[in-house]
Amino acid sequence: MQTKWPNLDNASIEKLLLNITNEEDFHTLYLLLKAPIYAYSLAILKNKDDALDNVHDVFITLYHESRTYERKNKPLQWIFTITKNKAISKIRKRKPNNSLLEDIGTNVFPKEEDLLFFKGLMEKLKEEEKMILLLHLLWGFKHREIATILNLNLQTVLSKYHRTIKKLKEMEVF
Amino acid sequence: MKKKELRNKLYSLYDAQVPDDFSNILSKAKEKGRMENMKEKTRKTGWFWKLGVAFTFLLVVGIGFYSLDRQYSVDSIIELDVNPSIELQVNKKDKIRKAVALNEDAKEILQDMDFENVDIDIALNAIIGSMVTKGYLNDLANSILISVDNRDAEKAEVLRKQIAEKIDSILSGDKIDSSVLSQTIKKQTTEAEELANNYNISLGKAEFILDVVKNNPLLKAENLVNLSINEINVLTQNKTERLSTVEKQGNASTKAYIGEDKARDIALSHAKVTKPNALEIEFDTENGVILYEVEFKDATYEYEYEIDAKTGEIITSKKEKEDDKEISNNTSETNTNTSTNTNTNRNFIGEDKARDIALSHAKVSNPQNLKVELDREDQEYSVEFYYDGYEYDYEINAVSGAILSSDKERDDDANKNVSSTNSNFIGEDKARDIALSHAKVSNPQNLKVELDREDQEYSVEFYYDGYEYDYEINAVSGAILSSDKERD
Repeated sequence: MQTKWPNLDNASIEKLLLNITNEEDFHTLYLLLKAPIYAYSLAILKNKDDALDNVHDVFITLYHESRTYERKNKPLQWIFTITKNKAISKIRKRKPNNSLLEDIGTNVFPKEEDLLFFKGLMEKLKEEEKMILLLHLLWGFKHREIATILNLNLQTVLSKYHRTIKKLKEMEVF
Repeated sequence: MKKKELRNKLYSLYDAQVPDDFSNILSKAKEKGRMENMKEKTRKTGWFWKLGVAFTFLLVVGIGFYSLDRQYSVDSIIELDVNPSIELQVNKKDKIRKAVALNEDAKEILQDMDFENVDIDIALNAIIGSMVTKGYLNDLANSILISVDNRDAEKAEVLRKQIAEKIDSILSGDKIDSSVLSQTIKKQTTEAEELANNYNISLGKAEFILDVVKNNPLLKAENLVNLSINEINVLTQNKTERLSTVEKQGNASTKAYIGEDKARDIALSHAKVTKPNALEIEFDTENGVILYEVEFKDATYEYEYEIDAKTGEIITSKKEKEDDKEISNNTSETNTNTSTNTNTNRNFIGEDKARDIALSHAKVSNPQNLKVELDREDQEYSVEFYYDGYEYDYEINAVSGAILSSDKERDDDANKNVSSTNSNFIGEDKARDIALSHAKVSNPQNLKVELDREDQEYSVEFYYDGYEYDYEINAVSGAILSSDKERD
C-alpha cells in the first residue's frame, strides 16, 4: 500500500512540537516527519544506516530542544535546520562507507518497480536536483524557501525543478 | 506521473525505509533527559570534572571543602571574541582559573601569559592591551564581543555589565572609540552548539551570529563565521537592523571602508543615473568580503549594485525593468482600505488585493480552488489556484504588492475532471478498443488506460495469456503511436 504524503503544514507541526512531551503527539510527529527527515539525511549521508541514525538523533534532539523553539519561527524550517546540522556533523565524524544502494535492497521494496524507481532517482538525478525535488515534494517547502536554503536564486530553483520533473518523466521507470 | 502522485510515491518509498522505531526513540529521549539533568549539576569543562574527582577525595578527608571550592571551582565562563577568541574560566571570587586560546590568533595574544589566580580586571587589562598592541583592536576595527555564562542568571548579568564597562574604559584609555557587544548565555541552543562545533568558533560568537541572522534573514550564518566581530557588527548597522539578545554600546568602526557616499557615487556613475529614486545603501557580505549593496531606480529601471566596501570595486551590477511599477504605486491607497482587520497587518494590502494581483498577472478571471494565505513573518501572501489544467503559485509582498515569484505548473489532477468534457479526444473507451482490436485480445487482464494530456496520448496497458501489452495512442486521431508486447 502506498502511503500518502501527509499535507505538512506549519501550524499543525507547531502544535505537535510544542506538545512533544505528550507521547501521542511525539509519535504523531515522528510518523509524519520520519520520511522527509530520512530522505534529506540519506541525500547528505548516502548511507542507509547513517541516515536512520540521523533520524533517531533528530527526534531525540527535538524532544529536548522543543522548548527552545520560538513560536514565530517556521517549525518545518527549524526542524529542517536541525536535520541538516546533525547530518553535516555526522559527515565529518564518520569513516568512508560502502555504496548507498547495496544496503537498500529488495527487502525494503517488495515491488521490483519501486526498487527500480528508487535506483533511478538515486543514480540519474544530480545532487542538487534530488535535493530540490525532496525539499519541495517531501518537506513541502516553497521554491523561494528552497532558494534560500540552497543559496540559489529563485529562477535557478524553478528551472532545475522543472527539468528534474521532466527527467523523471523521461526515465519512464514508473 | 503527476505532481501529487509523484509526491505520494516519493513519500511512500522513503517512508518504507524507516521502520517505526518510536518506542526506542522515546526511551532514549527520556534517558538522555535524566543524564542531562545530572550533567547540569556538575556542568562545564572537562577540566572541572577532573577537579571534581580531587574534591571528592578532599571531601572524604574532610578538610576545608567550602573555601577550596570557592577558590578552585569554575563559576563563570567568559568568552572574549575580536578575531582572537579567548575563554576565561573564572571562580566565585572573580579570579581566573584558566585562560584558553580558542583559535590561532588567540594563541598569539596569550602566548605564555599566566593568569592563574589573577583578578579578572588585571587579566582583561593584559589581554586587551595585547590585542591593541598586536593590531586586533584599533580605530578601524573597534568591536569586541563578551559572552558570560553562569548558572546564576543574575550573577551573569552583573558580570556582563562589569566586564563591558571595564573593557570600554581600557579601550578609551587607548583612545579607541569602542563598540562593545555583550551577552549572557542563557540556554545553549543546539543550533549555536552545532554552529560552534562545525566551524570551530566560540559558542559566544555562534550565539551572536544567530542573533544577527535572526534579525536579518537575508544573511546566512555560514557566511558570517569567518568574519571578525567588527565585520559582523558592521552588518548589524543597517537602518532596519536590531539585535535581540546581544547588548551593544557604541557603533562598529567603518573607517576601513570607502563610505556610503562614495559607494553611491560609484554605482550612480556606472549606471549613468543622476537623479536616482528610492536609493538605499546597506552593508552586505559575500565570500568573506564586506560589500555595500546599493539599490535605486530611475524612470524605467531598477538597479542593484554590490560594491567591495574596502576597494570600491563593483562586484555585481544588475539592471531590471520595473514590471510591478503600477502595483507598487497603487499600494498606498489600498493600505487604508484593508488595514482595519487587526493591528499587525495595518500596512498589508489584504487578501483580496493579493488575489487580484495574482489573477491579473495570470490573466485568469475565474480560478478554481483559490487559496490565499498570509505569511506574517515573511510579510508575503501566497496565492494558489487552478485554471485550465494549470496550477498557479504566487508569492506576493504583503506590503508593496510586488510579485516575488510566480509559478505555473501543469496540474494533471485537474485534467482528469476536464478530460471528459474535452470533445477533441477520442476518449478512454475508444482508445482501449483500438488497442484491444490491434492486439486481437477480447478479455484482457489488469487493463489500465491513462491520458497524458500534455502529449495528447492515451497509454493502454493490459495483460493477456502471459504477455504484457503496452500501447500509445494519439488522443485525437486514435492512431497507434507505439505498441509493445512482452513476455510477462
